[in-house]
Amino acid sequence: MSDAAAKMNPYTSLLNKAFAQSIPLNCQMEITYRCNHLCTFCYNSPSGAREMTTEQIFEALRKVTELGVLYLTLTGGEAMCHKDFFKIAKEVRRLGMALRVYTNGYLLADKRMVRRLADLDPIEVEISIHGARPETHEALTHIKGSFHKTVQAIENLNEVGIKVLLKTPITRLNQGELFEMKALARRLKRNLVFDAVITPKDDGSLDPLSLRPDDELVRKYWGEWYSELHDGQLPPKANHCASDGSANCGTGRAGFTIDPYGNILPCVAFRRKVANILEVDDIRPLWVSSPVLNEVRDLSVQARELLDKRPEGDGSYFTFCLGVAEVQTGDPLGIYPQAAINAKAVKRNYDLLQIGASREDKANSA
Amino acid sequence: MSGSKPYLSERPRRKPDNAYRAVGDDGGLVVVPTRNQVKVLNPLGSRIFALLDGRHTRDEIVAIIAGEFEVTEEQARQDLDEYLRELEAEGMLAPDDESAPEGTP
Repeated sequence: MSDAAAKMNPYTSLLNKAFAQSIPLNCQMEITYRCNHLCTFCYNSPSGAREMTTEQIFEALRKVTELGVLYLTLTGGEAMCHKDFFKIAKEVRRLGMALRVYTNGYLLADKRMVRRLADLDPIEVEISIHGARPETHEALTHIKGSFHKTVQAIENLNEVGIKVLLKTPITRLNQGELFEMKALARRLKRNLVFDAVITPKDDGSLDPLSLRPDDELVRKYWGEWYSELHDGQLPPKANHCASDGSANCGTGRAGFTIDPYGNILPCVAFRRKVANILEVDDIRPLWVSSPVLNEVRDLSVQARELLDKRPEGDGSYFTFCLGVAEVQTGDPLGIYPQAAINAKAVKRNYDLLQIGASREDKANSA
Repeated sequence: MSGSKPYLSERPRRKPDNAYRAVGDDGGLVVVPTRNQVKVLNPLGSRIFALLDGRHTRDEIVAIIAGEFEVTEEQARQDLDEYLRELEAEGMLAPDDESAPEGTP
Protein backbone atom coordinates (compact mmCIF):
# COMPACT_ATOMS: atom_id res chain seq x y z
CA MET A 1 0.00 0.00 0.00
CA SER A 2 1.31 3.47 -0.87
CA ASP A 3 1.90 6.05 1.88
CA ALA A 4 -0.93 8.12 0.46
CA ALA A 5 -3.34 5.20 0.54
CA ALA A 6 -2.26 4.26 4.06
CA LYS A 7 -2.91 7.81 5.26
CA MET A 8 -6.30 8.04 3.57
CA ASN A 9 -9.21 8.15 5.99
CA PRO A 10 -12.06 5.65 5.53
CA TYR A 11 -14.43 8.34 4.25
CA THR A 12 -12.03 9.51 1.52
CA SER A 13 -11.25 5.93 0.65
CA LEU A 14 -14.95 5.15 0.16
CA LEU A 15 -15.48 8.36 -1.86
CA ASN A 16 -12.61 7.34 -4.14
CA LYS A 17 -14.16 3.92 -4.64
CA ALA A 18 -17.53 5.50 -5.47
CA PHE A 19 -15.76 7.87 -7.89
CA ALA A 20 -13.90 5.04 -9.61
CA GLN A 21 -17.14 3.12 -10.03
CA SER A 22 -19.07 6.25 -11.17
CA ILE A 23 -21.52 5.87 -8.29
CA PRO A 24 -23.35 9.20 -8.04
CA LEU A 25 -23.55 10.42 -4.45
CA ASN A 26 -24.68 13.97 -5.24
CA CYS A 27 -27.53 15.56 -7.13
CA GLN A 28 -28.16 19.29 -7.51
CA MET A 29 -31.77 19.97 -8.27
CA GLU A 30 -32.63 23.41 -9.62
CA ILE A 31 -36.29 23.59 -8.63
CA THR A 32 -37.02 27.00 -10.15
CA TYR A 33 -35.34 29.80 -12.03
CA ARG A 34 -37.40 32.33 -10.11
CA CYS A 35 -35.29 34.56 -7.90
CA ASN A 36 -35.72 37.54 -5.60
CA HIS A 37 -32.32 38.98 -6.58
CA LEU A 38 -31.15 40.41 -9.90
CA CYS A 39 -27.45 39.48 -9.81
CA THR A 40 -25.62 40.87 -12.82
CA PHE A 41 -23.35 37.84 -13.21
CA CYS A 42 -25.98 35.11 -12.75
CA TYR A 43 -25.30 32.15 -15.07
CA ASN A 44 -28.94 30.97 -15.29
CA SER A 45 -30.59 31.25 -18.69
CA PRO A 46 -34.28 30.39 -18.41
CA SER A 47 -35.65 29.23 -21.76
CA GLY A 48 -39.22 30.23 -21.00
CA ALA A 49 -40.37 26.60 -21.02
CA ARG A 50 -42.75 25.38 -18.31
CA GLU A 51 -40.95 24.42 -15.11
CA MET A 52 -41.70 21.09 -13.42
CA THR A 53 -44.76 21.07 -11.19
CA THR A 54 -44.36 20.06 -7.57
CA GLU A 55 -45.77 16.62 -8.38
CA GLN A 56 -43.23 16.23 -11.18
CA ILE A 57 -40.43 17.30 -8.83
CA PHE A 58 -41.60 14.57 -6.42
CA GLU A 59 -41.50 12.06 -9.29
CA ALA A 60 -37.97 13.21 -10.18
CA LEU A 61 -36.86 12.92 -6.55
CA ARG A 62 -38.17 9.37 -6.38
CA LYS A 63 -36.11 8.41 -9.44
CA VAL A 64 -33.05 10.16 -8.01
CA THR A 65 -33.47 8.16 -4.79
CA GLU A 66 -33.71 4.91 -6.75
CA LEU A 67 -30.34 5.76 -8.29
CA GLY A 68 -28.95 5.81 -4.76
CA VAL A 69 -28.05 9.49 -4.35
CA LEU A 70 -26.97 10.40 -0.83
CA TYR A 71 -26.76 14.21 -0.89
CA LEU A 72 -29.54 16.21 -2.55
CA THR A 73 -28.98 19.93 -3.00
CA LEU A 74 -31.95 22.19 -3.64
CA THR A 75 -30.94 25.22 -5.65
CA GLY A 76 -32.27 27.59 -8.29
CA GLY A 77 -32.68 30.43 -9.24
CA GLU A 78 -33.49 30.94 -5.61
CA ALA A 79 -34.78 27.61 -4.34
CA MET A 80 -36.70 29.22 -1.50
CA CYS A 81 -38.75 31.27 -3.99
CA HIS A 82 -40.50 28.05 -5.02
CA LYS A 83 -44.00 28.16 -3.54
CA ASP A 84 -43.63 24.56 -2.33
CA PHE A 85 -40.01 24.75 -1.19
CA PHE A 86 -40.73 23.26 2.24
CA LYS A 87 -42.91 20.48 0.81
CA ILE A 88 -40.11 19.57 -1.58
CA ALA A 89 -37.43 19.74 1.12
CA LYS A 90 -39.58 17.53 3.36
CA GLU A 91 -39.92 15.01 0.54
CA VAL A 92 -36.13 14.92 0.12
CA ARG A 93 -35.80 13.97 3.78
CA ARG A 94 -38.71 11.52 3.67
CA LEU A 95 -36.95 9.71 0.84
CA GLY A 96 -33.89 9.35 3.06
CA MET A 97 -31.50 11.76 1.34
CA ALA A 98 -29.38 14.31 3.14
CA LEU A 99 -30.59 17.83 2.38
CA ARG A 100 -28.37 20.72 1.39
CA VAL A 101 -29.73 24.13 0.34
CA TYR A 102 -28.05 26.81 -1.78
CA THR A 103 -29.69 30.16 -1.13
CA ASN A 104 -29.08 33.89 -1.08
CA GLY A 105 -30.51 33.84 2.45
CA TYR A 106 -32.95 36.69 1.83
CA LEU A 107 -36.02 34.79 3.03
CA LEU A 108 -34.16 33.27 6.00
CA ALA A 109 -34.02 36.69 7.64
CA ASP A 110 -37.46 35.60 8.87
CA LYS A 111 -36.97 33.42 11.95
CA ARG A 112 -40.17 31.47 11.25
CA MET A 113 -38.67 30.28 7.96
CA VAL A 114 -35.47 29.27 9.74
CA ARG A 115 -37.41 27.23 12.30
CA ARG A 116 -39.27 25.41 9.50
CA LEU A 117 -35.97 24.66 7.82
CA ALA A 118 -34.39 23.50 11.09
CA ASP A 119 -37.20 20.95 11.49
CA LEU A 120 -35.88 19.25 8.34
CA ASP A 121 -32.33 18.81 9.73
CA PRO A 122 -30.42 20.04 6.66
CA ILE A 123 -26.78 19.01 6.74
CA GLU A 124 -25.74 22.38 5.38
CA VAL A 125 -27.00 25.67 4.02
CA GLU A 126 -24.72 27.50 1.61
CA ILE A 127 -25.25 31.25 1.34
CA SER A 128 -23.80 33.62 -1.24
CA ILE A 129 -22.49 36.92 0.03
CA HIS A 130 -21.10 39.47 -2.38
CA GLY A 131 -19.42 42.10 -0.26
CA ALA A 132 -18.51 43.19 3.22
CA ARG A 133 -20.66 46.29 2.95
CA PRO A 134 -24.28 46.83 1.89
CA GLU A 135 -23.34 49.04 -1.06
CA THR A 136 -21.02 46.40 -2.55
CA HIS A 137 -23.35 43.43 -1.99
CA GLU A 138 -26.32 45.35 -3.33
CA ALA A 139 -24.44 46.67 -6.37
CA LEU A 140 -24.44 43.01 -7.47
CA THR A 141 -27.83 41.84 -6.21
CA HIS A 142 -29.65 45.08 -7.18
CA ILE A 143 -31.94 44.59 -4.19
CA LYS A 144 -31.89 47.28 -1.52
CA GLY A 145 -31.68 45.84 1.98
CA SER A 146 -30.46 42.44 0.76
CA PHE A 147 -27.11 42.69 2.59
CA HIS A 148 -28.68 43.12 6.02
CA LYS A 149 -31.22 40.37 5.33
CA THR A 150 -28.44 37.94 4.34
CA VAL A 151 -26.42 38.74 7.47
CA GLN A 152 -29.57 38.37 9.59
CA ALA A 153 -30.21 35.00 7.94
CA ILE A 154 -26.73 33.76 8.89
CA GLU A 155 -27.26 34.87 12.49
CA ASN A 156 -30.67 33.16 12.56
CA LEU A 157 -29.21 29.91 11.23
CA ASN A 158 -26.43 30.11 13.81
CA GLU A 159 -29.02 30.42 16.56
CA VAL A 160 -30.68 27.12 15.64
CA GLY A 161 -27.38 25.34 15.00
CA ILE A 162 -27.64 24.78 11.25
CA LYS A 163 -24.24 24.47 9.59
CA VAL A 164 -23.66 27.37 7.19
CA LEU A 165 -21.02 27.82 4.52
CA LEU A 166 -20.56 31.26 3.00
CA LYS A 167 -19.56 31.60 -0.64
CA THR A 168 -18.29 34.62 -2.53
CA PRO A 169 -17.65 34.84 -6.24
CA ILE A 170 -14.81 37.36 -6.57
CA THR A 171 -15.80 40.19 -8.87
CA ARG A 172 -14.39 43.53 -9.95
CA LEU A 173 -16.77 45.13 -7.45
CA ASN A 174 -15.82 43.20 -4.30
CA GLN A 175 -12.17 42.39 -5.05
CA GLY A 176 -11.01 45.22 -2.76
CA GLU A 177 -12.74 43.89 0.32
CA LEU A 178 -11.81 40.21 0.50
CA PHE A 179 -10.18 40.62 3.89
CA GLU A 180 -13.15 42.58 5.21
CA MET A 181 -15.40 39.73 4.05
CA LYS A 182 -13.17 37.23 5.81
CA ALA A 183 -13.45 39.34 8.98
CA LEU A 184 -17.23 39.43 8.59
CA ALA A 185 -17.32 35.63 8.24
CA ARG A 186 -15.17 35.29 11.36
CA ARG A 187 -17.54 37.56 13.26
CA LEU A 188 -20.42 35.37 12.08
CA LYS A 189 -18.37 32.27 13.09
CA ARG A 190 -18.71 30.71 9.63
CA ASN A 191 -16.32 29.49 6.95
CA LEU A 192 -16.11 31.50 3.76
CA VAL A 193 -14.94 30.18 0.42
CA PHE A 194 -14.10 32.41 -2.52
CA ASP A 195 -14.55 31.53 -6.16
CA ALA A 196 -12.13 33.35 -8.45
CA VAL A 197 -13.83 32.20 -11.66
CA ILE A 198 -16.85 34.04 -13.01
CA THR A 199 -18.58 31.73 -15.46
CA PRO A 200 -20.37 32.61 -18.71
CA LYS A 201 -24.15 32.29 -18.85
CA ASP A 202 -25.61 28.86 -19.55
CA ASP A 203 -26.76 30.08 -22.97
CA GLY A 204 -23.17 30.95 -23.92
CA SER A 205 -23.39 34.70 -23.28
CA LEU A 206 -20.08 36.06 -22.04
CA ASP A 207 -21.66 39.16 -20.43
CA PRO A 208 -20.94 38.07 -16.83
CA LEU A 209 -17.21 38.00 -17.63
CA SER A 210 -17.18 41.82 -17.67
CA LEU A 211 -17.33 41.53 -13.86
CA ARG A 212 -14.25 39.33 -13.69
CA PRO A 213 -11.66 40.46 -11.14
CA ASP A 214 -8.43 42.06 -12.40
CA ASP A 215 -5.67 39.63 -13.38
CA GLU A 216 -3.27 41.22 -10.89
CA LEU A 217 -5.81 40.74 -8.11
CA VAL A 218 -6.24 37.10 -9.11
CA ARG A 219 -2.48 36.57 -8.92
CA LYS A 220 -2.40 38.07 -5.42
CA TYR A 221 -5.42 36.03 -4.35
CA TRP A 222 -3.85 32.71 -5.34
CA GLY A 223 -0.44 33.86 -4.13
CA GLU A 224 0.33 35.88 -1.03
CA TRP A 225 -3.30 36.27 0.09
CA TYR A 226 -4.62 32.73 -0.19
CA SER A 227 -3.41 31.23 3.06
CA GLU A 228 -4.45 34.23 5.12
CA LEU A 229 -7.92 34.16 3.57
CA HIS A 230 -8.27 30.42 4.16
CA ASP A 231 -6.98 29.94 7.70
CA GLY A 232 -3.51 28.78 6.68
CA GLN A 233 -4.55 26.39 3.92
CA LEU A 234 -2.72 26.15 0.61
CA PRO A 235 -4.57 26.63 -2.69
CA PRO A 236 -6.21 23.50 -4.11
CA LYS A 237 -4.27 21.71 -6.83
CA ALA A 238 -7.35 20.11 -8.38
CA ASN A 239 -11.12 20.42 -8.55
CA HIS A 240 -12.78 19.60 -5.24
CA CYS A 241 -14.91 16.96 -6.97
CA ALA A 242 -11.96 15.13 -8.56
CA SER A 243 -11.82 12.42 -6.01
CA ASP A 244 -9.06 10.02 -7.03
CA GLY A 245 -7.08 12.02 -9.61
CA SER A 246 -7.94 9.76 -12.55
CA ALA A 247 -10.28 12.36 -14.03
CA ASN A 248 -10.27 16.15 -14.03
CA CYS A 249 -13.52 16.40 -12.09
CA GLY A 250 -16.65 14.54 -11.08
CA THR A 251 -18.87 15.69 -13.94
CA GLY A 252 -21.31 12.92 -14.86
CA ARG A 253 -19.55 10.65 -12.42
CA ALA A 254 -19.76 11.77 -8.78
CA GLY A 255 -23.06 13.52 -9.32
CA PHE A 256 -25.32 15.33 -11.73
CA THR A 257 -27.73 18.26 -12.03
CA ILE A 258 -31.42 18.49 -12.90
CA ASP A 259 -32.69 21.80 -14.26
CA PRO A 260 -36.17 23.23 -13.55
CA TYR A 261 -37.51 21.63 -16.76
CA GLY A 262 -36.42 18.15 -15.67
CA ASN A 263 -33.37 17.91 -17.92
CA ILE A 264 -30.58 15.76 -16.51
CA LEU A 265 -27.16 17.41 -16.99
CA PRO A 266 -23.70 16.00 -16.19
CA CYS A 267 -23.12 18.82 -13.69
CA VAL A 268 -24.14 22.37 -12.93
CA ALA A 269 -21.45 23.79 -15.21
CA PHE A 270 -21.40 21.23 -18.04
CA ARG A 271 -24.95 21.48 -19.35
CA ARG A 272 -25.21 18.87 -22.08
CA LYS A 273 -28.64 17.31 -21.95
CA VAL A 274 -28.53 13.62 -21.00
CA ALA A 275 -32.30 13.06 -20.99
CA ASN A 276 -35.43 14.46 -19.39
CA ILE A 277 -36.10 12.75 -16.11
CA LEU A 278 -39.86 12.88 -16.69
CA GLU A 279 -39.48 10.95 -19.95
CA VAL A 280 -37.60 7.97 -18.50
CA ASP A 281 -39.06 5.41 -16.11
CA ASP A 282 -35.79 4.57 -14.43
CA ILE A 283 -32.54 6.53 -14.58
CA ARG A 284 -30.37 3.63 -13.40
CA PRO A 285 -29.79 2.11 -16.88
CA LEU A 286 -29.31 5.60 -18.29
CA TRP A 287 -26.59 6.35 -15.75
CA VAL A 288 -24.63 3.33 -16.97
CA SER A 289 -25.17 3.51 -20.72
CA SER A 290 -25.93 7.12 -21.70
CA PRO A 291 -23.67 8.09 -24.62
CA VAL A 292 -23.63 11.69 -23.34
CA LEU A 293 -22.49 10.68 -19.86
CA ASN A 294 -19.91 8.25 -21.21
CA GLU A 295 -18.51 10.93 -23.50
CA VAL A 296 -18.38 13.45 -20.66
CA ARG A 297 -16.59 10.94 -18.40
CA ASP A 298 -14.07 10.25 -21.16
CA LEU A 299 -13.55 13.98 -21.72
CA SER A 300 -12.85 14.43 -18.03
CA VAL A 301 -10.15 11.74 -18.17
CA GLN A 302 -8.72 13.29 -21.36
CA ALA A 303 -8.65 16.72 -19.71
CA ARG A 304 -6.60 15.32 -16.83
CA GLU A 305 -4.15 13.68 -19.25
CA LEU A 306 -3.81 16.85 -21.36
CA LEU A 307 -3.20 19.00 -18.31
CA ASP A 308 -0.57 16.59 -17.01
CA LYS A 309 1.30 16.90 -20.32
CA ARG A 310 1.35 20.69 -20.48
CA PRO A 311 4.83 21.93 -21.44
CA GLU A 312 4.46 24.82 -18.98
CA GLY A 313 4.55 22.23 -16.16
CA ASP A 314 1.56 23.85 -14.47
CA GLY A 315 -1.01 21.17 -15.34
CA SER A 316 -1.15 19.76 -11.85
CA TYR A 317 -2.16 23.19 -10.51
CA PHE A 318 -5.23 23.59 -12.71
CA THR A 319 -8.78 23.78 -11.44
CA PHE A 320 -10.26 23.29 -14.86
CA CYS A 321 -13.94 23.24 -15.83
CA LEU A 322 -15.00 21.43 -19.00
CA GLY A 323 -18.29 23.32 -19.08
CA VAL A 324 -16.67 26.76 -18.88
CA ALA A 325 -14.13 25.67 -21.49
CA GLU A 326 -16.85 24.58 -23.90
CA VAL A 327 -18.84 27.80 -23.55
CA GLN A 328 -15.80 30.05 -23.67
CA THR A 329 -13.64 28.36 -26.30
CA GLY A 330 -16.06 26.05 -28.11
CA ASP A 331 -13.99 23.06 -26.99
CA PRO A 332 -14.47 21.30 -23.61
CA LEU A 333 -10.73 20.66 -23.59
CA GLY A 334 -9.77 24.20 -24.63
CA ILE A 335 -7.72 26.17 -22.12
CA TYR A 336 -9.59 29.36 -21.18
CA PRO A 337 -7.70 32.40 -19.89
CA GLN A 338 -8.96 32.36 -16.29
CA ALA A 339 -7.88 28.75 -15.74
CA ALA A 340 -4.39 29.43 -17.09
CA ILE A 341 -3.95 32.58 -14.98
CA ASN A 342 -5.11 30.75 -11.87
CA ALA A 343 -2.85 27.74 -12.47
CA LYS A 344 0.20 29.94 -13.08
CA ALA A 345 -0.45 31.84 -9.85
CA VAL A 346 -1.01 28.67 -7.80
CA LYS A 347 2.17 27.11 -9.20
CA ARG A 348 4.14 30.24 -8.32
CA ASN A 349 2.79 30.06 -4.77
CA TYR A 350 3.94 26.43 -4.40
CA ASP A 351 7.32 27.21 -6.04
CA LEU A 352 7.91 30.02 -3.56
CA LEU A 353 7.01 27.73 -0.67
CA GLN A 354 9.59 25.20 -1.90
CA ILE A 355 12.27 27.88 -2.15
CA GLY A 356 11.38 29.01 1.36
CA ALA A 357 11.51 25.43 2.65
CA SER A 358 14.89 24.70 1.07
CA ARG A 359 16.33 27.95 2.50
CA GLU A 360 15.04 26.93 5.91
CA ASP A 361 16.63 23.48 5.53
CA LYS A 362 19.97 25.04 4.65
CA ALA A 363 19.76 27.42 7.59
CA ASN A 364 18.94 24.55 9.95
CA SER A 365 21.81 22.41 8.72
CA ALA A 366 24.34 25.27 8.86
CA MET B 1 -42.67 -7.05 21.25
CA SER B 2 -39.79 -4.91 22.34
CA GLY B 3 -41.60 -1.91 23.81
CA SER B 4 -39.44 1.19 23.61
CA LYS B 5 -36.19 -0.64 22.83
CA PRO B 6 -35.79 -0.67 19.04
CA TYR B 7 -32.59 -2.74 19.24
CA LEU B 8 -34.63 -5.62 20.64
CA SER B 9 -37.20 -5.43 17.86
CA GLU B 10 -37.97 -8.66 16.04
CA ARG B 11 -37.77 -6.73 12.77
CA PRO B 12 -35.27 -3.95 13.47
CA ARG B 13 -35.55 -0.91 11.25
CA ARG B 14 -33.21 2.00 10.59
CA LYS B 15 -34.71 5.50 10.69
CA PRO B 16 -35.80 6.25 7.14
CA ASP B 17 -34.43 9.79 7.19
CA ASN B 18 -30.83 8.66 7.84
CA ALA B 19 -29.49 8.97 4.30
CA TYR B 20 -27.66 5.75 3.46
CA ARG B 21 -25.68 4.66 0.42
CA ALA B 22 -23.86 1.36 -0.15
CA VAL B 23 -20.68 1.71 -2.23
CA GLY B 24 -20.48 -1.62 -4.03
CA ASP B 25 -19.23 -4.27 -1.63
CA ASP B 26 -16.74 -1.87 -0.09
CA GLY B 27 -18.92 -0.46 2.66
CA GLY B 28 -21.39 2.38 2.92
CA LEU B 29 -22.04 5.93 4.00
CA VAL B 30 -24.81 7.09 6.25
CA VAL B 31 -25.55 10.71 7.04
CA VAL B 32 -26.71 11.54 10.52
CA PRO B 33 -28.18 14.99 9.98
CA THR B 34 -28.90 15.75 13.62
CA ARG B 35 -25.16 15.59 14.23
CA ASN B 36 -23.99 16.92 10.84
CA GLN B 37 -21.85 13.82 10.49
CA VAL B 38 -21.24 11.17 7.91
CA LYS B 39 -20.71 7.75 9.38
CA VAL B 40 -18.55 5.35 7.38
CA LEU B 41 -19.72 1.75 7.51
CA ASN B 42 -17.42 -1.18 6.86
CA PRO B 43 -18.68 -3.93 4.54
CA LEU B 44 -20.30 -5.92 7.39
CA GLY B 45 -21.86 -2.81 8.94
CA SER B 46 -23.13 -1.66 5.57
CA ARG B 47 -24.71 -5.03 4.77
CA ILE B 48 -26.47 -5.19 8.14
CA PHE B 49 -27.61 -1.57 7.81
CA ALA B 50 -29.15 -2.35 4.41
CA LEU B 51 -31.05 -5.26 5.97
CA LEU B 52 -32.56 -3.12 8.74
CA ASP B 53 -35.61 -2.38 6.62
CA GLY B 54 -38.30 -3.57 9.02
CA ARG B 55 -39.04 -6.55 6.77
CA HIS B 56 -36.18 -8.88 7.67
CA THR B 57 -36.36 -10.64 11.04
CA ARG B 58 -33.32 -10.91 13.31
CA ASP B 59 -33.01 -14.60 12.44
CA GLU B 60 -33.10 -13.85 8.72
CA ILE B 61 -30.42 -11.17 9.09
CA VAL B 62 -28.25 -13.55 11.12
CA ALA B 63 -28.59 -16.27 8.46
CA ILE B 64 -27.71 -13.84 5.62
CA ILE B 65 -24.68 -12.45 7.45
CA ALA B 66 -23.42 -15.91 8.44
CA GLY B 67 -23.70 -17.05 4.82
CA GLU B 68 -22.16 -14.01 3.15
CA PHE B 69 -19.35 -13.33 5.62
CA GLU B 70 -18.52 -16.96 6.40
CA VAL B 71 -18.93 -16.71 10.18
CA THR B 72 -20.90 -18.92 12.54
CA GLU B 73 -24.50 -18.00 13.27
CA GLU B 74 -23.50 -17.48 16.89
CA GLN B 75 -20.85 -14.96 15.87
CA ALA B 76 -23.25 -13.25 13.42
CA ARG B 77 -25.91 -12.93 16.14
CA GLN B 78 -23.39 -11.44 18.55
CA ASP B 79 -22.22 -8.93 15.89
CA LEU B 80 -25.81 -8.00 15.08
CA ASP B 81 -26.78 -7.49 18.74
CA GLU B 82 -23.73 -5.34 19.37
CA TYR B 83 -24.30 -3.29 16.24
CA LEU B 84 -27.98 -2.70 16.98
CA ARG B 85 -27.12 -1.42 20.48
CA GLU B 86 -24.56 0.92 18.93
CA LEU B 87 -27.05 2.22 16.37
CA GLU B 88 -29.70 2.75 18.99
CA ALA B 89 -27.28 4.68 21.17
CA GLU B 90 -26.72 6.94 18.19
CA GLY B 91 -30.45 7.37 17.64
CA MET B 92 -30.41 5.66 14.28
CA LEU B 93 -33.09 3.00 14.81
CA ALA B 94 -36.80 3.63 14.36
CA PRO B 95 -39.02 2.79 17.30
CA ASP B 96 -41.33 -0.20 16.99
CA ASP B 97 -44.45 1.89 17.29
CA GLU B 98 -43.73 3.93 14.10
CA SER B 99 -45.86 2.84 11.18
CA ALA B 100 -44.28 -0.11 9.44
CA PRO B 101 -43.04 0.25 5.85
CA GLU B 102 -45.07 -0.94 2.90
CA GLY B 103 -44.86 -4.66 2.28
CA THR B 104 -44.26 -5.55 5.91
CA PRO B 105 -46.00 -8.84 6.63
